[in-house]
Amino acid sequence: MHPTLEGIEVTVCTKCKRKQFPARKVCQACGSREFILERAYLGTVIARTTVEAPPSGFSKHRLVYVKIGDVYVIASTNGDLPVGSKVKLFTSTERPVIRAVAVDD
Amino acid sequence: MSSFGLTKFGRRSESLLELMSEASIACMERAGLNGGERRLDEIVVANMASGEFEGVSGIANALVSELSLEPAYATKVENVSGSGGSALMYAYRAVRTGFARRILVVGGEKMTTLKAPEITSVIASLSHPTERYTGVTLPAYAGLLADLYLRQSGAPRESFAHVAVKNHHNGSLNPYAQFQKEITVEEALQSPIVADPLRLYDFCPVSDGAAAVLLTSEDEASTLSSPSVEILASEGATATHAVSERLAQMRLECVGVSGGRAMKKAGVNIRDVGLMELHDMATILEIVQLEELGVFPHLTGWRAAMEGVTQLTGSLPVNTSGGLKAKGHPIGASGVAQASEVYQQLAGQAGSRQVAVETALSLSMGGFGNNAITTLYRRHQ
Ligand SMILES: [Zn+2]
Repeated sequence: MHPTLEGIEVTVCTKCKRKQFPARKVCQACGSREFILERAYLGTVIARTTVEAPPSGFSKHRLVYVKIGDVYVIASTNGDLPVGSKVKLFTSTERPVIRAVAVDD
Repeated sequence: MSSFGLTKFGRRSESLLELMSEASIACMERAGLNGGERRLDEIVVANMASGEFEGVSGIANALVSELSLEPAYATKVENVSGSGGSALMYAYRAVRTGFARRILVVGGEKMTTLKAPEITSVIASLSHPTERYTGVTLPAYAGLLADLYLRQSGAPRESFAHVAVKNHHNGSLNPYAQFQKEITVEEALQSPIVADPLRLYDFCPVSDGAAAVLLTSEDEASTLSSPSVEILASEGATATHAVSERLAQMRLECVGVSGGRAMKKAGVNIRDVGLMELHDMATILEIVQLEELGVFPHLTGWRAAMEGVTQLTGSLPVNTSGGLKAKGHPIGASGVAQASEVYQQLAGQAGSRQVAVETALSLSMGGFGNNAITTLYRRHQ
Protein backbone atom coordinates (compact mmCIF):
# COMPACT_ATOMS: atom_id res chain seq x y z
CA MET A 1 0.00 0.00 0.00
CA HIS A 2 1.29 3.43 -0.90
CA PRO A 3 0.96 6.20 1.68
CA THR A 4 -2.22 8.19 1.14
CA LEU A 5 -3.40 11.70 1.88
CA GLU A 6 -6.97 12.57 2.68
CA GLY A 7 -8.85 14.38 -0.08
CA ILE A 8 -7.86 15.53 -3.56
CA GLU A 9 -5.89 18.63 -4.50
CA VAL A 10 -8.02 21.18 -6.35
CA THR A 11 -6.41 24.20 -7.99
CA VAL A 12 -8.20 27.54 -7.61
CA CYS A 13 -7.36 30.33 -10.05
CA THR A 14 -6.40 33.45 -8.10
CA LYS A 15 -7.71 35.68 -10.89
CA CYS A 16 -11.14 34.23 -11.74
CA LYS A 17 -11.65 31.72 -8.87
CA ARG A 18 -12.29 28.85 -11.30
CA LYS A 19 -11.69 25.50 -9.62
CA GLN A 20 -9.97 22.78 -11.65
CA PHE A 21 -9.31 19.10 -11.14
CA PRO A 22 -6.98 17.67 -12.23
CA ALA A 23 -4.45 20.50 -12.17
CA ARG A 24 -3.42 22.32 -15.36
CA LYS A 25 -0.60 24.76 -16.04
CA VAL A 26 -3.04 27.36 -17.35
CA CYS A 27 -6.56 28.28 -16.15
CA GLN A 28 -9.14 27.02 -18.63
CA ALA A 29 -11.44 29.95 -17.93
CA CYS A 30 -9.13 33.00 -18.03
CA GLY A 31 -5.65 31.82 -19.07
CA SER A 32 -4.01 32.83 -15.80
CA ARG A 33 -1.12 30.79 -14.44
CA GLU A 34 -1.53 31.71 -10.81
CA PHE A 35 -3.30 29.25 -8.55
CA ILE A 36 -3.75 28.41 -4.92
CA LEU A 37 -4.21 24.81 -3.83
CA GLU A 38 -7.21 23.66 -1.86
CA ARG A 39 -7.99 20.18 -0.55
CA ALA A 40 -11.46 18.75 -1.07
CA TYR A 41 -12.57 15.73 0.93
CA LEU A 42 -16.24 14.86 0.70
CA GLY A 43 -18.35 14.20 -2.36
CA THR A 44 -21.38 12.36 -3.71
CA VAL A 45 -21.43 9.39 -6.10
CA ILE A 46 -23.29 10.27 -9.32
CA ALA A 47 -22.42 7.16 -11.39
CA ARG A 48 -20.77 3.81 -10.90
CA THR A 49 -19.35 0.98 -12.98
CA THR A 50 -17.23 -2.13 -12.77
CA VAL A 51 -13.92 -2.97 -14.41
CA GLU A 52 -14.35 -6.64 -15.32
CA ALA A 53 -11.45 -6.58 -17.82
CA PRO A 54 -8.71 -4.73 -15.92
CA PRO A 55 -5.43 -3.50 -17.36
CA SER A 56 -2.08 -5.07 -16.37
CA GLY A 57 -1.31 -4.59 -12.69
CA PHE A 58 -4.95 -4.32 -11.61
CA SER A 59 -7.54 -6.86 -10.50
CA LYS A 60 -11.25 -6.51 -11.18
CA HIS A 61 -12.49 -3.44 -9.35
CA ARG A 62 -15.28 -0.91 -9.08
CA LEU A 63 -15.22 2.76 -10.02
CA VAL A 64 -17.39 5.66 -8.95
CA TYR A 65 -17.82 9.09 -10.49
CA VAL A 66 -17.98 11.64 -7.72
CA LYS A 67 -19.13 15.26 -7.63
CA ILE A 68 -17.05 17.09 -5.08
CA GLY A 69 -17.90 20.79 -4.82
CA ASP A 70 -17.39 22.31 -8.27
CA VAL A 71 -15.26 19.48 -9.65
CA TYR A 72 -15.64 15.82 -10.57
CA VAL A 73 -13.36 12.84 -10.06
CA ILE A 74 -13.30 9.14 -10.93
CA ALA A 75 -12.28 7.02 -7.95
CA SER A 76 -11.75 3.36 -7.19
CA THR A 77 -13.81 1.68 -4.44
CA ASN A 78 -13.84 -1.61 -2.57
CA GLY A 79 -17.55 -2.29 -2.37
CA ASP A 80 -20.52 -1.29 -4.48
CA LEU A 81 -21.35 2.33 -3.62
CA PRO A 82 -24.80 3.20 -4.99
CA VAL A 83 -25.48 6.50 -6.69
CA GLY A 84 -26.19 9.12 -4.02
CA SER A 85 -23.64 7.67 -1.56
CA LYS A 86 -21.60 10.19 0.39
CA VAL A 87 -17.89 9.40 0.10
CA LYS A 88 -14.56 10.57 1.40
CA LEU A 89 -11.68 10.68 -1.08
CA PHE A 90 -8.07 9.62 -0.59
CA THR A 91 -5.09 10.17 -2.91
CA SER A 92 -1.95 8.05 -3.04
CA THR A 93 1.17 10.20 -2.61
CA GLU A 94 3.34 8.25 -5.06
CA ARG A 95 1.00 7.98 -8.01
CA PRO A 96 -2.30 9.83 -8.25
CA VAL A 97 -4.46 6.80 -7.37
CA ILE A 98 -7.76 8.10 -6.04
CA ARG A 99 -9.96 6.03 -3.74
CA ALA A 100 -13.45 6.66 -2.41
CA VAL A 101 -14.71 5.32 0.91
CA ALA A 102 -18.31 5.52 2.09
CA VAL A 103 -19.06 7.85 4.97
CA ASP A 104 -22.24 8.26 7.02
CA ASP A 105 -24.27 11.39 6.38
CA MET B 1 -11.08 10.02 -53.00
CA SER B 2 -10.39 7.64 -55.86
CA SER B 3 -10.03 4.15 -54.46
CA PHE B 4 -10.05 2.00 -51.34
CA GLY B 5 -8.39 -1.18 -50.09
CA LEU B 6 -9.17 -3.27 -47.01
CA THR B 7 -7.91 -6.41 -45.36
CA LYS B 8 -10.39 -8.60 -43.57
CA PHE B 9 -10.46 -7.51 -39.92
CA GLY B 10 -10.03 -9.99 -37.06
CA ARG B 11 -7.23 -12.09 -35.61
CA ARG B 12 -4.63 -12.19 -38.37
CA SER B 13 -1.31 -14.06 -38.52
CA GLU B 14 0.41 -11.38 -40.64
CA SER B 15 2.49 -8.49 -39.31
CA LEU B 16 1.28 -4.89 -39.36
CA LEU B 17 3.55 -4.19 -42.34
CA GLU B 18 2.06 -7.13 -44.26
CA LEU B 19 -1.50 -6.03 -43.45
CA MET B 20 -0.80 -2.44 -44.52
CA SER B 21 0.85 -3.69 -47.71
CA GLU B 22 -2.18 -5.85 -48.52
CA ALA B 23 -4.59 -2.91 -48.12
CA SER B 24 -2.30 -0.54 -50.04
CA ILE B 25 -1.85 -2.86 -53.01
CA ALA B 26 -5.60 -3.55 -53.17
CA CYS B 27 -6.26 0.21 -53.15
CA MET B 28 -3.71 1.06 -55.86
CA GLU B 29 -4.65 -1.85 -58.13
CA ARG B 30 -8.33 -0.92 -57.89
CA ALA B 31 -7.35 2.52 -59.23
CA GLY B 32 -5.27 0.96 -62.03
CA LEU B 33 -2.00 2.08 -60.46
CA ASN B 34 0.26 -0.77 -61.51
CA GLY B 35 3.95 -1.00 -62.43
CA GLY B 36 5.44 2.36 -63.35
CA GLU B 37 2.07 4.09 -62.97
CA ARG B 38 2.23 3.89 -59.20
CA ARG B 39 3.69 7.36 -58.65
CA LEU B 40 2.53 8.86 -55.37
CA ASP B 41 3.40 12.23 -53.88
CA GLU B 42 3.03 11.11 -50.28
CA ILE B 43 1.98 8.21 -48.06
CA VAL B 44 0.34 9.06 -44.74
CA VAL B 45 0.23 6.16 -42.30
CA ALA B 46 -2.22 6.06 -39.37
CA ASN B 47 -1.19 3.88 -36.47
CA MET B 48 -1.41 4.16 -32.70
CA ALA B 49 1.05 1.77 -31.17
CA SER B 50 3.23 -0.36 -33.47
CA GLY B 51 5.99 0.09 -30.89
CA GLU B 52 3.94 -1.27 -28.01
CA PHE B 53 2.16 -4.01 -29.95
CA GLU B 54 4.97 -5.27 -32.20
CA GLY B 55 8.15 -3.50 -31.10
CA VAL B 56 8.31 -1.76 -34.48
CA SER B 57 8.88 1.93 -35.23
CA GLY B 58 9.37 3.69 -38.57
CA ILE B 59 6.39 1.83 -40.06
CA ALA B 60 5.71 4.51 -42.71
CA ASN B 61 9.27 4.24 -44.07
CA ALA B 62 9.06 0.45 -44.02
CA LEU B 63 5.80 0.51 -46.00
CA VAL B 64 7.25 2.72 -48.74
CA SER B 65 10.12 0.28 -49.26
CA GLU B 66 7.91 -2.81 -49.07
CA LEU B 67 5.82 -1.36 -51.91
CA SER B 68 8.86 0.08 -53.79
CA LEU B 69 7.36 3.54 -53.74
CA GLU B 70 10.63 5.42 -53.07
CA PRO B 71 11.25 8.36 -53.19
CA ALA B 72 7.68 9.27 -52.11
CA TYR B 73 7.67 10.95 -48.71
CA ALA B 74 5.94 9.04 -45.93
CA THR B 75 5.05 9.88 -42.36
CA LYS B 76 3.02 8.42 -39.51
CA VAL B 77 0.13 10.19 -37.82
CA GLU B 78 -0.58 9.07 -34.26
CA ASN B 79 -3.76 10.32 -32.66
CA VAL B 80 -4.79 7.20 -30.72
CA SER B 81 -8.11 5.83 -31.98
CA GLY B 82 -8.57 8.94 -34.12
CA SER B 83 -5.31 8.32 -36.03
CA GLY B 84 -7.14 7.28 -39.20
CA GLY B 85 -9.36 10.34 -39.21
CA SER B 86 -6.39 12.61 -38.57
CA ALA B 87 -4.34 11.05 -41.37
CA LEU B 88 -7.28 11.47 -43.74
CA MET B 89 -7.73 15.11 -42.69
CA TYR B 90 -4.07 16.00 -43.27
CA ALA B 91 -3.96 14.23 -46.62
CA TYR B 92 -7.18 15.92 -47.73
CA ARG B 93 -5.79 19.34 -46.83
CA ALA B 94 -2.52 18.68 -48.68
CA VAL B 95 -4.40 17.74 -51.85
CA ARG B 96 -7.01 20.47 -51.45
CA THR B 97 -4.36 23.18 -51.15
CA GLY B 98 -2.36 21.85 -54.09
CA PHE B 99 0.69 20.62 -52.17
CA ALA B 100 0.13 17.10 -53.49
CA ARG B 101 -1.94 15.44 -56.20
CA ARG B 102 -1.88 11.78 -55.13
CA ILE B 103 -1.67 10.67 -51.51
CA LEU B 104 -2.16 7.15 -50.24
CA VAL B 105 -3.63 7.11 -46.72
CA VAL B 106 -3.04 3.79 -44.97
CA GLY B 107 -4.24 2.93 -41.47
CA GLY B 108 -3.49 -0.24 -39.56
CA GLU B 109 -3.01 -1.91 -36.22
CA LYS B 110 -1.79 -5.33 -35.17
CA MET B 111 -3.19 -5.81 -31.65
CA THR B 112 -3.42 -9.54 -31.01
CA THR B 113 0.30 -9.86 -30.33
CA LEU B 114 -0.47 -8.97 -26.69
CA LYS B 115 -2.76 -10.49 -24.05
CA ALA B 116 -6.01 -8.72 -23.10
CA PRO B 117 -4.75 -6.91 -19.92
CA GLU B 118 -1.70 -5.63 -21.82
CA ILE B 119 -3.86 -4.43 -24.72
CA THR B 120 -6.12 -2.65 -22.22
CA SER B 121 -3.01 -0.99 -20.69
CA VAL B 122 -1.69 0.17 -24.06
CA ILE B 123 -5.04 1.75 -24.89
CA ALA B 124 -5.52 3.22 -21.39
CA SER B 125 -2.12 4.95 -21.69
CA LEU B 126 -3.95 7.74 -23.55
CA SER B 127 -5.84 8.64 -20.35
CA HIS B 128 -4.99 11.39 -17.88
CA PRO B 129 -2.64 10.02 -15.17
CA THR B 130 -5.15 10.63 -12.36
CA GLU B 131 -7.55 8.32 -14.18
CA ARG B 132 -5.06 5.82 -15.63
CA TYR B 133 -3.34 5.16 -12.29
CA THR B 134 -6.75 4.72 -10.65
CA GLY B 135 -7.36 1.84 -13.06
CA VAL B 136 -9.86 3.49 -15.39
CA THR B 137 -10.17 1.82 -18.79
CA LEU B 138 -11.87 2.99 -22.00
CA PRO B 139 -14.76 0.53 -21.41
CA ALA B 140 -15.07 1.90 -17.85
CA TYR B 141 -15.55 5.45 -19.17
CA ALA B 142 -18.32 4.04 -21.37
CA GLY B 143 -19.83 2.22 -18.38
CA LEU B 144 -19.94 5.44 -16.34
CA LEU B 145 -21.43 7.38 -19.25
CA ALA B 146 -24.04 4.67 -19.84
CA ASP B 147 -24.97 4.63 -16.13
CA LEU B 148 -25.48 8.42 -16.13
CA TYR B 149 -27.33 8.30 -19.46
CA LEU B 150 -29.79 5.60 -18.42
CA ARG B 151 -30.64 7.52 -15.23
CA GLN B 152 -31.06 10.91 -16.91
CA SER B 153 -32.69 9.98 -20.23
CA GLY B 154 -35.13 7.32 -19.12
CA ALA B 155 -33.86 5.13 -21.99
CA PRO B 156 -34.52 1.42 -21.58
CA ARG B 157 -31.41 -0.77 -21.31
CA GLU B 158 -32.35 -2.60 -24.50
CA SER B 159 -31.93 0.60 -26.52
CA PHE B 160 -28.15 -0.05 -26.41
CA ALA B 161 -28.68 -3.65 -27.50
CA HIS B 162 -30.54 -2.45 -30.60
CA VAL B 163 -27.39 -0.59 -31.70
CA ALA B 164 -25.36 -3.80 -31.39
CA VAL B 165 -27.99 -5.87 -33.22
CA LYS B 166 -28.14 -3.33 -36.08
CA ASN B 167 -24.37 -3.13 -36.47
CA HIS B 168 -23.99 -6.92 -36.37
CA HIS B 169 -26.62 -7.18 -39.12
CA ASN B 170 -24.66 -4.70 -41.25
CA GLY B 171 -21.41 -6.52 -40.47
CA SER B 172 -22.97 -9.78 -41.65
CA LEU B 173 -23.23 -8.17 -45.11
CA ASN B 174 -19.64 -6.87 -45.14
CA PRO B 175 -17.02 -9.37 -46.36
CA TYR B 176 -14.26 -7.43 -44.57
CA ALA B 177 -16.00 -7.44 -41.16
CA GLN B 178 -14.62 -9.34 -38.18
CA PHE B 179 -18.10 -10.51 -37.13
CA GLN B 180 -20.28 -11.69 -39.97
CA LYS B 181 -23.10 -12.98 -37.84
CA GLU B 182 -26.39 -11.62 -36.63
CA ILE B 183 -27.16 -11.36 -32.92
CA THR B 184 -30.46 -10.87 -31.08
CA VAL B 185 -31.43 -8.28 -28.49
CA GLU B 186 -31.73 -11.09 -25.95
CA GLU B 187 -28.19 -12.34 -26.67
CA ALA B 188 -26.84 -8.81 -26.29
CA LEU B 189 -28.69 -8.31 -23.00
CA GLN B 190 -27.48 -11.64 -21.61
CA SER B 191 -23.82 -11.36 -22.63
CA PRO B 192 -21.27 -11.04 -19.78
CA ILE B 193 -20.90 -7.69 -18.03
CA VAL B 194 -17.73 -5.81 -19.01
CA ALA B 195 -18.35 -2.36 -17.48
CA ASP B 196 -21.73 -2.33 -15.74
CA PRO B 197 -24.30 -1.57 -17.17
CA LEU B 198 -22.52 -2.37 -20.44
CA ARG B 199 -21.96 -5.93 -21.60
CA LEU B 200 -19.72 -7.76 -24.02
CA TYR B 201 -21.95 -7.06 -27.03
CA ASP B 202 -21.89 -3.33 -26.24
CA PHE B 203 -18.20 -3.18 -27.17
CA CYS B 204 -16.03 -3.49 -30.26
CA PRO B 205 -13.61 -6.43 -30.34
CA VAL B 206 -9.80 -6.47 -30.38
CA SER B 207 -8.77 -6.57 -34.05
CA ASP B 208 -5.91 -6.73 -36.49
CA GLY B 209 -6.34 -5.14 -39.89
CA ALA B 210 -5.56 -2.36 -42.30
CA ALA B 211 -7.37 0.01 -44.63
CA ALA B 212 -6.24 2.35 -47.40
CA VAL B 213 -7.79 5.13 -49.48
CA LEU B 214 -6.29 7.08 -52.37
CA LEU B 215 -6.79 10.84 -52.31
CA THR B 216 -6.28 12.64 -55.58
CA SER B 217 -6.78 16.06 -57.07
CA GLU B 218 -9.73 16.33 -59.44
CA ASP B 219 -7.62 16.23 -62.61
CA GLU B 220 -5.68 13.18 -61.35
CA ALA B 221 -8.94 11.42 -60.50
CA SER B 222 -10.07 11.62 -64.11
CA THR B 223 -6.97 9.65 -65.23
CA LEU B 224 -7.71 6.65 -62.99
CA SER B 225 -9.78 3.57 -63.73
CA SER B 226 -11.84 3.74 -60.50
CA PRO B 227 -14.75 6.09 -59.79
CA SER B 228 -14.15 9.03 -57.49
CA VAL B 229 -15.99 10.45 -54.50
CA GLU B 230 -15.68 14.07 -53.49
CA ILE B 231 -14.48 15.05 -50.02
CA LEU B 232 -16.26 18.28 -49.07
CA ALA B 233 -14.55 19.05 -45.73
CA SER B 234 -12.61 17.48 -42.89
CA GLU B 235 -12.40 19.22 -39.53
CA GLY B 236 -11.20 18.31 -36.04
CA ALA B 237 -11.62 19.47 -32.45
CA THR B 238 -10.19 18.61 -29.03
CA ALA B 239 -11.81 18.18 -25.60
CA THR B 240 -10.39 17.85 -22.08
CA HIS B 241 -7.76 15.17 -21.44
CA ALA B 242 -9.36 14.16 -18.13
CA VAL B 243 -12.72 12.59 -18.97
CA SER B 244 -13.97 13.32 -15.42
CA GLU B 245 -14.08 17.03 -16.31
CA ARG B 246 -16.84 16.50 -18.89
CA LEU B 247 -18.55 13.17 -18.25
CA ALA B 248 -21.30 14.68 -16.08
CA GLN B 249 -22.70 16.59 -19.05
CA MET B 250 -23.15 13.29 -20.97
CA ARG B 251 -21.74 15.07 -24.00
CA LEU B 252 -18.92 14.53 -26.49
CA GLU B 253 -18.45 18.21 -27.24
CA CYS B 254 -15.53 17.79 -29.65
CA VAL B 255 -17.81 15.69 -31.86
CA GLY B 256 -20.31 18.53 -32.09
CA VAL B 257 -17.60 21.12 -32.67
CA SER B 258 -15.79 19.15 -35.40
CA GLY B 259 -19.11 18.26 -37.02
CA GLY B 260 -20.27 21.86 -36.95
CA ARG B 261 -17.01 23.08 -38.45
CA ALA B 262 -17.11 20.47 -41.22
CA MET B 263 -20.74 21.21 -42.11
CA LYS B 264 -20.05 24.95 -42.20
CA LYS B 265 -17.01 24.49 -44.46
CA ALA B 266 -18.94 22.16 -46.76
CA GLY B 267 -22.11 24.24 -46.78
CA VAL B 268 -24.01 21.12 -45.74
CA ASN B 269 -26.86 20.83 -43.24
CA ILE B 270 -27.06 17.74 -41.04
CA ARG B 271 -30.44 16.99 -42.69
CA ASP B 272 -28.59 16.66 -46.04
CA VAL B 273 -26.44 13.80 -44.75
CA GLY B 274 -27.80 10.44 -45.88
CA LEU B 275 -25.35 8.03 -44.26
CA MET B 276 -22.95 8.09 -41.31
CA GLU B 277 -20.03 5.99 -40.19
CA LEU B 278 -19.68 6.72 -36.46
CA HIS B 279 -17.09 5.71 -33.87
CA ASP B 280 -19.07 3.06 -31.97
CA MET B 281 -16.30 1.69 -29.77
CA ALA B 282 -19.25 1.21 -27.39
CA THR B 283 -22.96 1.27 -28.28
CA ILE B 284 -23.59 4.30 -26.04
CA LEU B 285 -21.10 6.29 -28.14
CA GLU B 286 -23.10 5.87 -31.37
CA ILE B 287 -26.13 7.20 -29.49
CA VAL B 288 -24.39 10.25 -28.00
CA GLN B 289 -22.57 11.02 -31.26
CA LEU B 290 -25.91 11.20 -33.08
CA GLU B 291 -27.00 13.77 -30.48
CA GLU B 292 -23.78 15.78 -30.75
CA LEU B 293 -24.00 15.95 -34.53
CA GLY B 294 -27.48 17.42 -34.21
CA VAL B 295 -29.48 14.47 -35.55
CA PHE B 296 -31.35 14.02 -32.25
CA PRO B 297 -31.78 16.33 -29.25
CA HIS B 298 -29.66 15.66 -26.14
CA LEU B 299 -30.65 12.43 -24.32
CA THR B 300 -32.99 11.21 -27.08
CA GLY B 301 -30.54 9.52 -29.49
CA TRP B 302 -31.32 6.13 -27.90
CA ARG B 303 -34.56 6.07 -29.91
CA ALA B 304 -32.70 5.92 -33.24
CA ALA B 305 -31.76 2.24 -33.41
CA MET B 306 -34.87 1.11 -31.47
CA GLU B 307 -37.18 2.81 -33.94
CA GLY B 308 -35.23 1.67 -37.00
CA VAL B 309 -34.14 5.15 -38.11
CA THR B 310 -30.46 4.14 -38.36
CA GLN B 311 -30.98 0.70 -39.95
CA LEU B 312 -29.91 0.07 -43.56
CA THR B 313 -33.53 0.59 -44.58
CA GLY B 314 -34.08 3.58 -42.26
CA SER B 315 -34.05 7.27 -43.12
CA LEU B 316 -30.44 7.69 -41.88
CA PRO B 317 -28.39 4.47 -42.14
CA VAL B 318 -25.57 4.52 -39.55
CA ASN B 319 -22.54 2.23 -39.62
CA THR B 320 -23.50 0.37 -42.77
CA SER B 321 -20.07 -1.32 -42.57
CA GLY B 322 -20.97 -2.89 -39.21
CA GLY B 323 -19.16 -0.08 -37.43
CA LEU B 324 -16.29 -0.61 -35.02
CA LYS B 325 -18.70 -2.88 -33.15
CA ALA B 326 -19.00 -5.62 -35.79
CA LYS B 327 -16.50 -4.70 -38.50
CA GLY B 328 -13.77 -4.56 -35.83
CA HIS B 329 -11.50 -1.83 -34.51
CA PRO B 330 -7.82 -2.19 -35.45
CA ILE B 331 -7.22 1.19 -33.89
CA GLY B 332 -5.14 3.03 -36.51
CA ALA B 333 -7.17 1.51 -39.34
CA SER B 334 -10.63 2.54 -38.19
CA GLY B 335 -10.82 6.13 -39.46
CA VAL B 336 -9.51 5.01 -42.86
CA ALA B 337 -11.89 2.03 -42.92
CA GLN B 338 -14.78 4.44 -42.32
CA ALA B 339 -13.69 6.40 -45.40
CA SER B 340 -13.42 3.11 -47.32
CA GLU B 341 -17.03 2.27 -46.45
CA VAL B 342 -18.20 5.72 -47.51
CA TYR B 343 -16.27 5.34 -50.77
CA GLN B 344 -17.95 1.99 -51.50
CA GLN B 345 -21.39 3.41 -50.71
CA LEU B 346 -21.05 6.61 -52.74
CA ALA B 347 -19.38 4.78 -55.66
CA GLY B 348 -22.16 2.18 -55.72
CA GLN B 349 -19.85 -0.68 -54.75
CA ALA B 350 -21.32 -1.70 -51.37
CA GLY B 351 -23.05 -4.88 -52.58
CA SER B 352 -25.88 -6.17 -50.40
CA ARG B 353 -25.53 -3.30 -47.91
CA GLN B 354 -25.76 -0.60 -50.62
CA VAL B 355 -27.91 2.42 -49.79
CA ALA B 356 -28.81 5.23 -52.19
CA VAL B 357 -27.42 8.49 -50.81
CA GLU B 358 -25.71 11.62 -52.14
CA THR B 359 -23.90 12.88 -49.02
CA ALA B 360 -22.16 10.98 -46.22
CA LEU B 361 -20.28 11.70 -43.00
CA SER B 362 -17.58 9.86 -41.10
CA LEU B 363 -16.65 10.54 -37.50
CA SER B 364 -13.31 9.37 -36.18
CA MET B 365 -12.80 9.83 -32.44
CA GLY B 366 -9.57 9.85 -30.45
CA GLY B 367 -9.76 8.42 -26.92
CA PHE B 368 -13.06 8.73 -25.08
CA GLY B 369 -14.24 11.90 -26.77
CA ASN B 370 -10.77 13.42 -26.30
CA ASN B 371 -10.81 14.59 -29.89
CA ALA B 372 -12.83 14.09 -33.05
CA ILE B 373 -12.47 14.46 -36.79
CA THR B 374 -15.56 14.79 -38.96
CA THR B 375 -15.29 14.31 -42.72
CA LEU B 376 -18.06 15.01 -45.25
CA TYR B 377 -18.28 13.37 -48.67
CA ARG B 378 -20.48 13.67 -51.74
CA ARG B 379 -21.22 11.33 -54.63
CA HIS B 380 -19.33 12.58 -57.69
CA GLN B 381 -21.60 14.91 -59.66
ZN1 LIG C 1 -8.89 31.79 -14.18
